[in-house]
Amino acid sequence: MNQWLTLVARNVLRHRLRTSLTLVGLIVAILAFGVLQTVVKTWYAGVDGAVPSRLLTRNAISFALPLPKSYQKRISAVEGVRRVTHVNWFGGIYKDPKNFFPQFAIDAASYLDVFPEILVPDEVRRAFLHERRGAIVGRKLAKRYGFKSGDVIQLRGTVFPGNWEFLICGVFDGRDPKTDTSQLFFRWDYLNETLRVRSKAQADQVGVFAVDVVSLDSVADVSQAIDEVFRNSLAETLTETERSFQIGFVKQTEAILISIRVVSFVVIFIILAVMANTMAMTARERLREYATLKAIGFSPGYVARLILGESVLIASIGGAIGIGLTPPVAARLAELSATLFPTLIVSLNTVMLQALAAVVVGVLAAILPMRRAARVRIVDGLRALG
Amino acid sequence: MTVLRISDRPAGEDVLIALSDVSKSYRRGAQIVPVLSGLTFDIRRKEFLALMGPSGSGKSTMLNLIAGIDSPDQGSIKVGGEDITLLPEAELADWRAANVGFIFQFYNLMPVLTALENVELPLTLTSLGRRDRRDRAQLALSLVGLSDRVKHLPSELSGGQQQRVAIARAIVTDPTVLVADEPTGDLDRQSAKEVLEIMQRLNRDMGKTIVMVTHDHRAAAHAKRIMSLEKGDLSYLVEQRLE
Repeated sequence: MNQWLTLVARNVLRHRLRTSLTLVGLIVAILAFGVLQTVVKTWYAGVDGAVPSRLLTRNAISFALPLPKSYQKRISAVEGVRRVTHVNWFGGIYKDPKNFFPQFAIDAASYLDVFPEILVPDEVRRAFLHERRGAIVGRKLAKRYGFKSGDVIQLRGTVFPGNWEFLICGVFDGRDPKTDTSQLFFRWDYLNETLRVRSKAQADQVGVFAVDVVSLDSVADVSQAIDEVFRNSLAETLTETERSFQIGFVKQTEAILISIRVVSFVVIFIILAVMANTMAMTARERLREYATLKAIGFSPGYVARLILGESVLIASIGGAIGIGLTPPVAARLAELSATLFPTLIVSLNTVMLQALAAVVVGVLAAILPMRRAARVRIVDGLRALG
Repeated sequence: MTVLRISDRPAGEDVLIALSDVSKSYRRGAQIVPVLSGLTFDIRRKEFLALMGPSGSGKSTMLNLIAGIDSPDQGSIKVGGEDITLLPEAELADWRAANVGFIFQFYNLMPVLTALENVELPLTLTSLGRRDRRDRAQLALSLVGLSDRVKHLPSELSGGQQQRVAIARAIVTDPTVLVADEPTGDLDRQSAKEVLEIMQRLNRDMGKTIVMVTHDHRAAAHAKRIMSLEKGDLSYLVEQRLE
């Protein structure tokens, strides 16, 4: 092995306890950084998974306000629209408020056509379309609460008062890992018919219309045309792409996301300080060795590279272990967080960020000790205590 | 033993190291402390010189200047005719690698390298291949009687053995000059004797020029010439013929 590499590798193992503790710190920091970045990315999963040709039409004042169901026909009539479906946020409580998971009232047939990423087996679809109280649950939700076909579950309404019973018709899967399978869908007609009896003012209204557009090129025109139809009406609409809608939704929690991002970088900054301290101690202890090397003819650059190599090697080992631990820890966190994070998938981008953070920590931590060791006068270094 | 005045300088081609009007001072806080002032003297080729003197007399400073690891405030230091005070830092490092072997009081071996790897270290600065480097390092270790300790780490060797490894490292590049700063200062009497005998042999049999700083009169007695420094001035020197 190259003499430089030999020295670097053996120096890393010289103070095993110190190196181990620094490694533990690095592993935790890179792991925490990766998990926090994944959480932020997951928050934007809806944005990333948005279909470009899908528009969402909501009440122009706020998406918390409903739109008349009667708008569906008029939207369908707009040129360039292929299909229209609608969806209502239900917001019910399953046994206890802590058991949160999203529930939506949908127009079963049209919704599953407009959202093909929701994969429903044929027999489940048939049962769902047949059973007025029917509901389908995502794979993750079914796993969490043990829901299976034939179960009857009860939700306590918050937006729509009263207790609501649903018959589970089956389980759906996602077309790709980003599809949220922690949701429950039930039939809007069941909701609407019940509201006509219980709360007439809330009947015949929907939360959002989802519009499937014929051509991607006409998305902007169709969006404008829909809003034009309802201009000066009692409930004006705001039509935007699914992506814009999701961004708007995420923006409501932007302060939290910024905080998480800041914390993830603070963690890296802290480990940088720890690592810099370790390397400074290391270099100070070895000043006489560095002076000896310089005396026998090695350049200040060689001495600096010894410190840099050691720092980057420790950071790389810590970074690699931290990166390796991130997917299982993220998966466990997703399980523990119930349906808050439907999926916590560590992206390649996050892995690269983690690797970059580890290398940057290794390089920055070495800069001051490198400078000192390279600049120290040989005679002063030889006098230093080992 | 003959005592010579400093003015009695060896002359001609026989001179290897020539110091002319060398001064050196250090800054201690706001104070400037002169260590050497206007020192002029020569060291002959194949000489074994012991520099003696009380602490703070400037003997280690003089050794550092001769070895090219420190620079004088004024004056010139010529080694083999080349004024090393004029060399830029990078060239001076190359010059040291080619011409000077260092023997330190505390051995200054790399603790993570084996005896063989420590001796091989200066050779990595040369163009020699790995096999040649190993062969030369083995040879150097055999010259100091440590052929059977090649794979030992410094921590697995006694002080005397470590110093012998350091001597092997100093001679492995076949330098012109060996500089030794208190080479027996950390050794017991027997180990010190062995180390000094090796140095004597290197001087006598291999023609190495050795400049050794020591407090120890017994150690100095192994040299061919003893010089004594008092407050930065070479007051007198002692020439001692061992042959």
